[in-house]
Amino acid sequence: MIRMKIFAMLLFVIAGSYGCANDTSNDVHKRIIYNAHGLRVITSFSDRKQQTISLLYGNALALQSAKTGIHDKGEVFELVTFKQANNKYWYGSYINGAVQSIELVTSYAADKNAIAFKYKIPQGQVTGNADIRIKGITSHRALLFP
Amino acid sequence: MLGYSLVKKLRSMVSSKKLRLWPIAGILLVGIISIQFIQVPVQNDKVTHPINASEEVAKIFRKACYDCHSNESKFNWYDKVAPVSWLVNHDVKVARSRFNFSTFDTLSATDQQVRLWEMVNMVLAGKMPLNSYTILHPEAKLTPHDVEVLKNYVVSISPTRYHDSSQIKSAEEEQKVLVDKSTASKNIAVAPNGVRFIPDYKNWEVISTTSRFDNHTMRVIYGNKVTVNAIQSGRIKPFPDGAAIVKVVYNIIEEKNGEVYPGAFNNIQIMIKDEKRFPESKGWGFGRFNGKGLKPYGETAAFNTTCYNCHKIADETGYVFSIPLENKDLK
Repeated sequence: MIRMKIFAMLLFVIAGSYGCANDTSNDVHKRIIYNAHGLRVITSFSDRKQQTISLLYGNALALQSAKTGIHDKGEVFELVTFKQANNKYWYGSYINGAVQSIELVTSYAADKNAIAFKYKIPQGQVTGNADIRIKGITSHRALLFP
Repeated sequence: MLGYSLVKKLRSMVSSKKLRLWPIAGILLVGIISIQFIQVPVQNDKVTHPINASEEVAKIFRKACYDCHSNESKFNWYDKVAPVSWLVNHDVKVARSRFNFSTFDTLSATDQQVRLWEMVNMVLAGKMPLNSYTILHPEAKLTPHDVEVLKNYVVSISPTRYHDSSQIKSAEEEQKVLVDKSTASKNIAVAPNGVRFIPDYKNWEVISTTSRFDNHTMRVIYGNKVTVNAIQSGRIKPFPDGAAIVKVVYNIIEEKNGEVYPGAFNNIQIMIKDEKRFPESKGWGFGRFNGKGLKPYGETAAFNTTCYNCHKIADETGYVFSIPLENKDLK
């Protein structure tokens, strides 16, 4: 009888610990910071009707071309579009929410005198053809970061 | 016979206790009377420049805010008796120093807007009117309709100017600065409270970006490693010492089709966490550097308190407004 009781208690403890190990309640309180893998911000913009907020990141070459308007091979642009959310701690402010899409544009030398671009959508869905998207993404001017 | 002696004994006990209590009661009474002279009750000064708002809005302010935030405070008899009067005195003095509806129109239009948005956000966060006040003054509580009226009011005083040509021109002018780096200052700007500008923020991670319709600006918000680790591990109440946040603020160009683009650079705002240096603001030191010249904001270190007073709204998130949303709030 005592053995039965000990076994039942043991089962209860194991079941409890398994439940805790798989407890996802903590995940709902987690806050995700977008990992740009070392790329720097070129600019940010939003669309109140589409309810999106975007951050355009780039490598050093992309940042330079966004200042001068002159492109070179090796540029990397990453446009991250987030869903726009209400900032629950400040009425009057929208903040970036979940990632809606990620677009990647890279430049390469098509020949000695011409720079061409490749376009990818690593995450989400985007409307508009690749050429229009490339033109839009690479034509943003860099913000001033004092 | 036994009953009679017991009653007699009890009577004598009560009367002897009464005798002992009289001096204590007397001392207390003298004490209460004496403390009435320690502090003069709050006075109502003249109403010189009252807030200029519609009757519907003013009525809400009068019922919920005026007893503390105006020169038209109405006191009950117990508000005038020390020590209650001391608490009332303190609360009213602090409230009037933050903003006073009786002199509100002396503030610039921008300052009025800032304070009004802060008021609405204080209300939405449940911080105002104070619970300690509404317990005794239940009529001061705001209804959902009152809150909607106030929200609509602040939006109405901050109208959007679509395709603002002056903003577009400023943004174009700024592009010249981006290419010509000769204007960059080598001196590190320092705020009056000792908070220094941090040029290295550009190498930090972006924790969020915001687009605001209250003051028509947008922000790119950076956090150092300590901040990023604290947010990711959920250790934000409180943020650890060494946390630093930099908000880069730009004007915005708003189009009727909903598109919002950054205009010219406006200012940089910094928060650094140091419990020993800034004990009166929960360890947060604030700095604001205006314009491309990064001119430090504030005449004295006291501006830190003004910043902190507003950030109290975000006590749920360690006094930081714009940290990434929790997973449960992502849609």
